Amino acid sequence: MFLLRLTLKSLAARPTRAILTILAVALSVSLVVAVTGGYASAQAAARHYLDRYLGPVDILISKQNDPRGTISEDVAAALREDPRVRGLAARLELQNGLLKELDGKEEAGRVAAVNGIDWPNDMLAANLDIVDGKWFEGNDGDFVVVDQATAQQLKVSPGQTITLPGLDKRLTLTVVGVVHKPAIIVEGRPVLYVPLKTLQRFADLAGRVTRVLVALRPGADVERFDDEWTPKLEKISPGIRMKSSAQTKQQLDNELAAVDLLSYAGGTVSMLTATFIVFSALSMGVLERQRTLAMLRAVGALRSHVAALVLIEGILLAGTGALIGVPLGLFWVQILTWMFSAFFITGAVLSWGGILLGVGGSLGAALLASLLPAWSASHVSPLDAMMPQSSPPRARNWILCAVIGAMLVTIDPLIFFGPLPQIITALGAADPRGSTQKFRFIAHFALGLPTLLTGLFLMSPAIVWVVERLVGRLVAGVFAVRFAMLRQQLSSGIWRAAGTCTALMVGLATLVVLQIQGNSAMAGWRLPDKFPDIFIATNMLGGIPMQDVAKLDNVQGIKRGQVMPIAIATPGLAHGFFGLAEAMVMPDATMFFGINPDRGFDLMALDFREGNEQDAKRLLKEGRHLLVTNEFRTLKGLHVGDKLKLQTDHGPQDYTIAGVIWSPGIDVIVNVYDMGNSMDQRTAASVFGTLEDAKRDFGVDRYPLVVANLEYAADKADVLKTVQKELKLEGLRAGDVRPLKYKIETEFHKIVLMISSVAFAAMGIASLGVTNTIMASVRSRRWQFGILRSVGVTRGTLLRLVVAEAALLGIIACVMGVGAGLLMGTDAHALSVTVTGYDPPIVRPWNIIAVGVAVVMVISLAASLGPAMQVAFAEPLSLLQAGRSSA
Amino acid sequence: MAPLVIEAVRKAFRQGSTGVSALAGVSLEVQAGQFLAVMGASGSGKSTLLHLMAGLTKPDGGRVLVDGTDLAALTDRDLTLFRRRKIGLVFQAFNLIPTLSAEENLGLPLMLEGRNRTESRAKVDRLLDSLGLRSRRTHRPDAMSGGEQQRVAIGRALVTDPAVILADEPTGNLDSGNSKAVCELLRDLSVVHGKTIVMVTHEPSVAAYAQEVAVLKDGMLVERFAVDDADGRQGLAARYQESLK
Repeated sequence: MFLLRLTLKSLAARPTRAILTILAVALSVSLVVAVTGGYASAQAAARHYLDRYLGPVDILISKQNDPRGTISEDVAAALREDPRVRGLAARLELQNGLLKELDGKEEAGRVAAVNGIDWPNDMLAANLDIVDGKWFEGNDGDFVVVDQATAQQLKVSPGQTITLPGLDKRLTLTVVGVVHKPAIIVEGRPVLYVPLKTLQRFADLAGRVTRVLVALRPGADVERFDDEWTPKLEKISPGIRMKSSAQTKQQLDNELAAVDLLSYAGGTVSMLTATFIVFSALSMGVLERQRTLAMLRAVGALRSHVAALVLIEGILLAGTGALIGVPLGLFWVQILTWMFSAFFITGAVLSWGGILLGVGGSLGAALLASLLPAWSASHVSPLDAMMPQSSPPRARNWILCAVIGAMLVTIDPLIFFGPLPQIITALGAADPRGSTQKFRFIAHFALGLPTLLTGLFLMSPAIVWVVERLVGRLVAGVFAVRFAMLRQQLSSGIWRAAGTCTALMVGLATLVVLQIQGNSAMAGWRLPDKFPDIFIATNMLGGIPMQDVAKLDNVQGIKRGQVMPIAIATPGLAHGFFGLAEAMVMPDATMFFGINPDRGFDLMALDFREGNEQDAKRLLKEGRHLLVTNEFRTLKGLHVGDKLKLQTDHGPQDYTIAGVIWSPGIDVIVNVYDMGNSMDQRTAASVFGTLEDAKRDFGVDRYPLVVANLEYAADKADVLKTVQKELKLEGLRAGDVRPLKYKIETEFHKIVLMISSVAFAAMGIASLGVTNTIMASVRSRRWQFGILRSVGVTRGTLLRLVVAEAALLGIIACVMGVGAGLLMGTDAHALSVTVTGYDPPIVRPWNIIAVGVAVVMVISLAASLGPAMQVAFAEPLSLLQAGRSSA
Repeated sequence: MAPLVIEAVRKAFRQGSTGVSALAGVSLEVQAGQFLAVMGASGSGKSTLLHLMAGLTKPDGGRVLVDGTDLAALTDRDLTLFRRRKIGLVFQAFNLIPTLSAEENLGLPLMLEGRNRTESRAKVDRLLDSLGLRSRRTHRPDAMSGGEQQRVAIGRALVTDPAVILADEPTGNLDSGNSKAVCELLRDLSVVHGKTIVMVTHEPSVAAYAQEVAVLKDGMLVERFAVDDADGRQGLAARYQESLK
């Protein structure tokens, strides 16, 4: 109790310092709570939607390898006989363009999702609230129900019509009702509900559906139902897949878990900043109270008493910060969910994990931050109490710390660039490559990152000392002050300065790492020299049939013989990958592109890293051969001649690797063109086979993507119009991949910048630590400043002296931040090669890094202005009377 | 055995690349209830001697025995506890904790012992009364005069009934009036209450309040004499100057 009382009184004696430190911790904690709470709220909204959407559905049945593929309606008829089935509905879900009238002229509108439903059996549609009109009756008729956003966009209401253009025909539908869908869904394309038979007729898909929805009676065993019916349904409609809604929800959870992990990572960055700010504050306290601590030791306080004073102070500061930060963070979340209430349909959701991280993290930060100051305080000599002036702290311990720190900093690079594969092989691991990957992944997070950060912190006093000596003269010159006055201002309170610089470093280093990762990922995406002039894409009706692709050869503007369709399927791999990282970037599926080898190799110059074009072409034509991408090879260790099992409509089949190519980024283009847009189809791995393989093994015989070369000076827009006219198919999109690449890159950079906001927030929090340090530094030298003013130093010089010291702090922080960021960026790049196999060249965006450096410098200088002006404009006598020695 | 025994202590320091001998074999005893003033010029080793007596540093040779205990034989923890219970320290700069009141500063060693306020209140109150600080009990150091602060420091040194009280230039930061008051107080503690006191000072006028004076020069004890033998303050000063020649 006595120690607690003593600590409280000590904090009360320096209220500004305590408030600034508590505020920094509070902001850090609130950032953690807000970010994790925001994601939790978004997750809850997504789960709510899924529950609502899938709620009444226990099983979804669809085509296995083709998101646009259809299955026989006989599947529904067979299942209806099972007494365990409570409800069943078949759906045909397609995409189609809309025609709209504008000024008396018809124009192609947006592409809409057109759902042919079996009303009133369709459980998903029955979940929707009708807000105008009513549902159509029965399974047939030229009627449509639209969602509220579509009704607004097309300016239609019950009684008006909508026209769907198709192959050689049109379908005019009368709007009979408007339903309400949550904003989270409506943000996407328009959605239309039409009777099932009407859509089947229009799309020439009689007897075909894309999904069958099954609701089971209470108590029915979903897994058993799945096991019993899967083989039976395979016979009725080959290539079928049954998926329970529990599995779908689990998949959503897995995907959201990755996002959740990112939110915690962002929170950890701000907790790290808080740790160093608390450390800095505690170090300042020890430095300033040396005489008091020495006296306490002289009159009989044990080392543990003195250490406890520091520990209690740290816990009080952090605990108070957490108490303020948690409700503050919850407040931010409430504001966010209120501002975007249409999206956050379930309102603000607490993330207990985030709150735990914030509270536990801040207390943990306090304990960690107080270790060194507590040790330092407990080793204050009681003899110092007898001295007229406090002795300066001994220099030796930070040199030792720098040596230890330098050793720790090498651990993470060693994990990635050291002889680990050889060691693991020598230890006799069954799968050295896989074991190395797993070990590197785990070791980086469990050992490499913590030791790297600890090492940098331990090295920070040495960096302060070196930079102060190297750059001090220059800074003194810039601010027109004598170097003798500036010298050793930081290194006299070296741990205080080190703690502050490390707090600033965290934000800048995070910014540098994120920017290196993001820009490197994009830089690796280089198009080959030879690439098709145009991509024509459509989502409609599952794609363009082959007979219509052939028509494109005769379209004016397209070079004859230089048209190639691309089949797209998403077969699963027959064996899984490891861990969450895999789930994040390489789910258990891949993307199969079927091409015509002759035309494909003419249209695109593929860069073979293994094998060659001639052999690859020959092997592909034989069937069941693949080209894989370089990152696929890096990740799986596959080579030409190795086999890869793919899940086909006929069960797992072996495909042999015919070549390893450097990917031209087709998968990214395809994702932008929204080819595999259902969440269970998203992949990052691409393999290339033939059109014949796609048809035989995955049932793909319509092509959502066609590439072609154009005649010289042909206009893309004109060619597209001609194609649409030729195929009688609205809703086609065409593009040159180069502007597309530019657009993707621009969007990607925006995303990276948005993610980097965590780094800027951390820097903002660190600014409080800088203010604290400058204030403490000024306070401890008030007597010296009094002497300087007495002997004739002007206010301006004094002001510039304090600002120069802050500039030096900023420079040190920038050196540490950029250095740490470059080192961590290199390791992070190695980690992503390990996890994804993707090995682009490292790009260091110096322009953004320069912005980060500028922000750190502005923070440092701005933080010093208040204390500088206060001391510069104080009466010289009041400065002298402040006393010579520390308390 | 005498409460304080110094046996041939030696202590040297390094100043840059040079070794400096602060004490070169000093021996003395302080009997119970005795008030000894240790005098000497700057660099004579008097402060070093006091530091050794307080256990704040260890001798390079010889022994320091306080209440029969060899301080050099104790661990850091045991020495700290010993100092808390057996040695009372009075500093030149008072060294009160600025955020604690007079009574809290005075009772600090008892609080370090783990005794709560109720337990130590009686003793603290008695000391505050005897030191004339009752009206200042709740005042912080910045609200007290130098003399009052030093009296609080003396009270802190007394609160555990130590075997010896060691005062390092206790009047160094005080005006003449307050100096006199503090010196009288120390004398009364010795004469009336039988406390054993060693006081380091360079002022003959302050040393005159002690019973005996020990003079150090160049790390050695050159003279020890009773104050009564010195024929007043003038005589003491003259004798002190003589011993420094």
